[in-house]
Amino acid sequence: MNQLFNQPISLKGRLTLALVLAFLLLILDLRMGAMQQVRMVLNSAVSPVQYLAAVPEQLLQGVYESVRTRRSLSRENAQLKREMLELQGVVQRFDFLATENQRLRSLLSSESDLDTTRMVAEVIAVDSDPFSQQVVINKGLLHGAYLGQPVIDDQGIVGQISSVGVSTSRVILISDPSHGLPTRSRISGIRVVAQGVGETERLELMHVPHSTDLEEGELLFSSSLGGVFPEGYPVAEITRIRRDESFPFAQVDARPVAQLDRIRMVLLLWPADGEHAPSAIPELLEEAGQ
Amino acid sequence: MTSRFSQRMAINAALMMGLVLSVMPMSAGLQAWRPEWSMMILLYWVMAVPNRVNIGTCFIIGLLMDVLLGSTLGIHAAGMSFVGYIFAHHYKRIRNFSLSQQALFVGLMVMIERSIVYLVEYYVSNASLQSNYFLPAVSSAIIWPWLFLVMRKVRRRFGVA
Repeated sequence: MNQLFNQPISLKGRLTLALVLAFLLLILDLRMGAMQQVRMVLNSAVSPVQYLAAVPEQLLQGVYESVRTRRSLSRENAQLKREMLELQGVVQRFDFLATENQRLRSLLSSESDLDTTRMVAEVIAVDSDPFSQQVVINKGLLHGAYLGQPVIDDQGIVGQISSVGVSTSRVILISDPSHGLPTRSRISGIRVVAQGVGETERLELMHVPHSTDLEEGELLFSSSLGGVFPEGYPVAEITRIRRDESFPFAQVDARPVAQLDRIRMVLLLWPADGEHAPSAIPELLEEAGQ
Repeated sequence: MTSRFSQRMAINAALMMGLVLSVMPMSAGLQAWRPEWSMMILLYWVMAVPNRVNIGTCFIIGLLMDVLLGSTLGIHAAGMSFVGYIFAHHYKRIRNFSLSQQALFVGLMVMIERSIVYLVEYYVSNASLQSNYFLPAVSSAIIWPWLFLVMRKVRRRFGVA
């Protein structure tokens, strides 16, 4: 039993060693970009834990799906059909507008917008760390995901990929305190940076002068100025403007359009003019496996 | 007496289980109350078999927590190593505590670990403290007696010593 005290390094020595090592890791991770690779390896190494942690929820979901009555299914089906019809109506109009826009742009001989490619990803883990707002999705290097890739849901912008593993990636949400997103308001066209504060329901708009034309209820869209997010995706709606003269800037709060606290499915975007493209390897593997 | 290998496997499986429980999705309301599973299981092993599980293992589990939670590498590793040290240093005394005393002590450990994590996060990213940050200390203390009994069963079943 007393092996503990026959071991070469004393307990205190071990603690010192561990703390020094932790400190070194901290410095390396904060100050050097080189840790990105290490993180990728580590992320891939822990992905089994994440997949395992997602199993009970998926099982529950499966049970729920299998015990649903025919009536609720047919009701949902009818509702989806109705939504589909509505959306198709909108899309028809949209197609027309897009071609018209393209034509007008070519008349003005300005650069035309290209289509983006998309891929559906599933959220497999949500961080319980209160100091960061991140989720893990089930797409990684294998699928062509890359660092800084924009992620949206059916409502608006969710965030961007902050580290890529082999088959999983980590998405930093727009509500993370270290995330700022350049936006433009729909009506007035004013450019503002939407900064996360660590709450899923609130963003802060930075450096807005007291004399601003922004109004409550105004919708903000991504402005593509940061070079990460493509232009024109909805980001947030202004909820409150406080013009307290004792502060250098007006305090403006906005609520993200995407439902950050209950995301399940997200879309990865590949801008058409970028050097990245979705990879077909997983599908090929699946086909080979069948 | 089971083989050394299967004992090792039992310890690792329990630690793995702790990690899984720590990142398992929960409803948003309960999220703030999530007990520190991986830390409690780790501390149980440190207390029961300090010759096999001590600061090295704590460091590794802490590092894995860093990766799983996406925090800066080394933060949880430092916190876990520190509470692991306290447990490894006083394991004989803690073993003789009653279950309720142990529970209080574990709650204190969770509090210490979370304080370390908060302090480092504060220096690193200027994090702000939220009022529910220390709730896991309470829930961990409440869960501990039951976890202790389950883990003791596991330990005896696999003859870990």
